Parts: sequence; C-alpha cells; structure tokens
Amino acid sequence: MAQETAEATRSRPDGLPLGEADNIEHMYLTFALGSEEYGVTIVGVTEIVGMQRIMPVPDVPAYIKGVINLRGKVIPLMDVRLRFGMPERAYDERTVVIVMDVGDAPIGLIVDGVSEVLEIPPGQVDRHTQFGRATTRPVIAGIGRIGDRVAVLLDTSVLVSDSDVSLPADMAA
Amino acid sequence: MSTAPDNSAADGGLMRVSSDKISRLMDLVGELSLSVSETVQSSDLAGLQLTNFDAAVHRLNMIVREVQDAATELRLVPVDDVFRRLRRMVRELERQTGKQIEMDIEGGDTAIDKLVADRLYDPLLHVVRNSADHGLEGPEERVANGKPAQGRIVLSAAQVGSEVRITVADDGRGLSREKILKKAREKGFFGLDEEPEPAALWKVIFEPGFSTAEVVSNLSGRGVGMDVLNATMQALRGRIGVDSTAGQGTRVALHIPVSLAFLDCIILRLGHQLFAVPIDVISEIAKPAPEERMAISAGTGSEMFRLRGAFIPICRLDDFYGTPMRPAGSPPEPVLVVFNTASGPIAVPVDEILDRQQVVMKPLVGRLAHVRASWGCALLGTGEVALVLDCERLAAGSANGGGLQ
Repeated sequence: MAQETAEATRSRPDGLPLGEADNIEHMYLTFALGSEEYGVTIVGVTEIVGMQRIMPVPDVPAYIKGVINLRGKVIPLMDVRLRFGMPERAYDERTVVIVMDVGDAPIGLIVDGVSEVLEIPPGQVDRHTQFGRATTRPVIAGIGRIGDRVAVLLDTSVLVSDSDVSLPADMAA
Repeated sequence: MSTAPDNSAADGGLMRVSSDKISRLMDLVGELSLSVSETVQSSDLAGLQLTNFDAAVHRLNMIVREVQDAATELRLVPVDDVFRRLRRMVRELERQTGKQIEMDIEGGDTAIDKLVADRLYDPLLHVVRNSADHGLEGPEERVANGKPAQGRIVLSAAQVGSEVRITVADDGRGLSREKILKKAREKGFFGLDEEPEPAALWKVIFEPGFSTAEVVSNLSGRGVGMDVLNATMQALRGRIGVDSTAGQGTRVALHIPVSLAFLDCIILRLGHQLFAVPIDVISEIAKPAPEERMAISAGTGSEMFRLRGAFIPICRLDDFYGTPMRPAGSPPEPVLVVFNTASGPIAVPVDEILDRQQVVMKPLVGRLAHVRASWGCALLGTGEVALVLDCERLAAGSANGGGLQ
C-alpha cells in the first residue's frame, strides 16, 4: 500500500515530467480529510509511507501522536485532523503519512489518504487573507481550483508551528 | 582539519583524514549496529531452533561493538589542542591586565571527541578569561594578602568513567557570596531569608539572565559568557560545578561525556512509553515494599521512597510531563530507579527495566524540540524509539514543583 502510493506520486498520473525546476513550486500533493480536499506544496515532501507503528512521546500536544523510526530517522507524526480540531478517526489501510522536511526538521502528516500530485498555477489559486486570524500568518495559503474541484492549500510552516489553526466552525468536517 | 597531532619527525604512519569522512563512518556504524539488531531480533525467527545462528549472532555482536569502539576512537583527540590555544590567550591577557599569570596544564593527553573539543574552546575561554581578569588580584593586592605576586591558573583534564572532567582553578579572591546572593535574591532565585548552600548559590551564575552587563563590574565580573557556557554544556550533555573559597580562589569543573555518538543506557518502560537513562546516573534499582513508599498529602501531593533510613523524593514521569502513560487505576509501579543528580537523588517509578544497550542518539528537532528534560531520542536495537532522560533537568524541574509550566 505504502509502496503503491509512493510510486503513484513519483510517476505522475497526468504524465507531466516531475521535477521541472520552473514549476515545482506550483505542484501540490493533494490529500483527503473527511470529505474535504487539501493540498501541500511538494517542495519538501520526501516520501509517502503507510501507517507505521507509532511510539508515543511525552510533553507534546495531543495532535502529535508520537514518532516513527523510518530507516533510522526519528520522525514526529502530526494527525492533521486533530491539528484542525476535526473529529479523530481510526487509522485504516488508506491512512497514509506524508513525510516532509519543514524548516530543516522532518515531520510526518497523518491524513485520510493521498489523492494525486497536481500542478496548480498561481492563476488558479485564490488567496484570501480573511481565512485564519488577521494578526497571525494564516495556515491556509489559498484555495486552488482544479477543474470543478477545489483544494485548500496549506502553509506547511504554519501547520507545523504552535500557532492556533483551528478552522472556522463551518469548515471543520 | 587534522585529527592526529602533527609530528614533524617520521610520523609513525599518521595520516590526515577529513572529519566529514569520519562522521560519515560514524553514521554508517550506527546504522550497521541498528540493522544487525533488527535482523537478529526479527520476528520471523521466533520459535526456530537456531543453535549455530545464535553462536554467529554472538560473534557478530562482539564485532559490531568493537567496530563501534574503534570508530569512536578515531574521532578522539587530545584535549591539549584546546588547552594550548587557551595558553596563548592567557599570555595576551597578561599583557592587557598587567597581571602576572602562571598557567599550568595537567592531563593534556586526555582524549575527547573532536566534536566536543571543537565546541569547548569558547566556553573554556570565558571561564579562563574570568579567572584571569577578575578572579586573580593584581600583584600588589596579592602580596598584601600574603600570596605570591604571580597568580596561578591550573587547567586540568582527567577521564572519570565515561566522562572527561575539565577544571579551571585559580588562586584568586574567590566569589563573593554576599554580592551573588544579593543579586540572586533580586532576580528571584532565592527567597529573602533563604541561605542557600554554597554549591547551590554558585550555580546561579550560570542561570540564563542572571548576568547582565551592569552587574559584571561589581560581581567580580563572573557573568560574562556564563550563559554561553551553560548553553554549550547542555548541548554537549555536560554538567558544571563551581567551588569557591573567599580569598583562596575559584574552581570551575566541567563534566563532559567522552563521546557524543553512542550512549550506554538502561532502557525503562513506564506504561506504553520507553525511556533511556545513561547508566552512570543510576545509583540503585529497587523493588520497594508498599510500606517503603510514603505519600505526603501536604504541598503538591508528593511521595517519598524510604531507602535504608533516608527519604528520597519520588518523581513521577507521567506527572512531570503531564501525560498519562498508564491505564487509570493501575497498581503502583513495581520498580523504583534511583538517579543520582546534582540536586540530590530522585526515585523514578517504572513498570519494567528492559535492557542495557549502547544507543544511537538522535537530537530532538522540529516539533520535538520543546520536550523537556531530554537529551534526545535513542534508537533501540528493536527499532523502537526511547526518550533519553536528562536526569539533572528532571530533578531540577520536579523540585520546582515539577509538572506543567
């Protein structure tokens, strides 16, 4: 399962060559949380793995579920549902961990399932500053339009920080 | 950088190797030892009759251990490299201050990890500079006090178990209890009527925020760079001790682990959480009878362990971290591990002692950087991850009322 997902990410479904320097910043990995679709920039994503044995760690917020040992690297896992104050959901065979480096430190994002890697050019991203608190940098970088679907694009450095990112009540699934 | 002393004579087969290459080798050796443990403890082997295999595993483990030791040794350099640079500094200070300073070096051949040695110079420089600048008196004052005109600083190193102890001792005027206590009270480190033990009082000079530029001049100057020293010691998993006698001098001792790569640990389990503790802080492992545990309702509801007539405070990890680790209503933990710390012994209850192993340390970065009282994560042979406890900070933290900040 983990292997397949990772493969799918590397050989892009739409056939575009991955890693073209000029548009890698506009490439997003989309994933599901409940019925919503989210996206993070693929810059910094190192791999996607299936759920592993989580070892708990004390002294961290509840949304940090613990750490995994990924080939000798200790990676903290963040349950993105809990991070957003969404109801917890039991992990199943579709649950995956998106492993990425944010600010030189590794983090694994636990999500309901990954969808695909998409190029979303800036012209198809609506940036609304009213999402999130006005005083802090918002966790939502913008709303990406992909045909008739939308993906909520997240600012990963805010996501992994300590700041309060609970979504407005009408957006929480 | 050269990792071996430069001998101009026939160099006895020495060669220069870049420290990057050695670091790479260390990383690989770490991964090798983890993969060996993983292979050997593979669940696929469960229930098989493996007589020859077990013998081979035993040999393999011995070899891995030796490779680990040999790799660690590659990075060891004599601490004298650092000491010699400090000696040059003292010559410079003599010229600047007009004081006569005799600097003695003892135990310069003591070996220490190059990574540690590289980071030692700056903090040691601060200690030596403070001794020369403010600890030692001028020649006239010294003679008036019946001391030789020439001040003396002794820089010494010695290996004590798995630690290297580096001391900087001067025969100057010593720390002023009165001035430091006054400042410490102002900063709220001690109560107005509190008369702390000398060792406890001297420690405050390393507390972040204790020294400020304005106090330096009236505090015998022992303040400059002490924060730097403290920060480096924490990063190197070291400890600082200060001892001072008015009129006779000050001695600052740094205790630093010889190597940063591997750590000899005991693995403890509390509920579903694994902890690793460096072996040299453990003084005792006990299975207490119920009457040896005494609950005190007063205060924050503490608990004491009675060991041979002495009472040792019990520090519960789940309380300290504010994280439940065992199912509610579990019976008391059957094992108490006693740690020796600078703040006195503490007893930590655990469910089980699992193993003693050489663990590979990983620093706490990113989301884990704020985990308190820990040196880092330890990768165990089983592939599991344990939190390496910093017992000093655990003891200091729980003494301050512990728990949540």
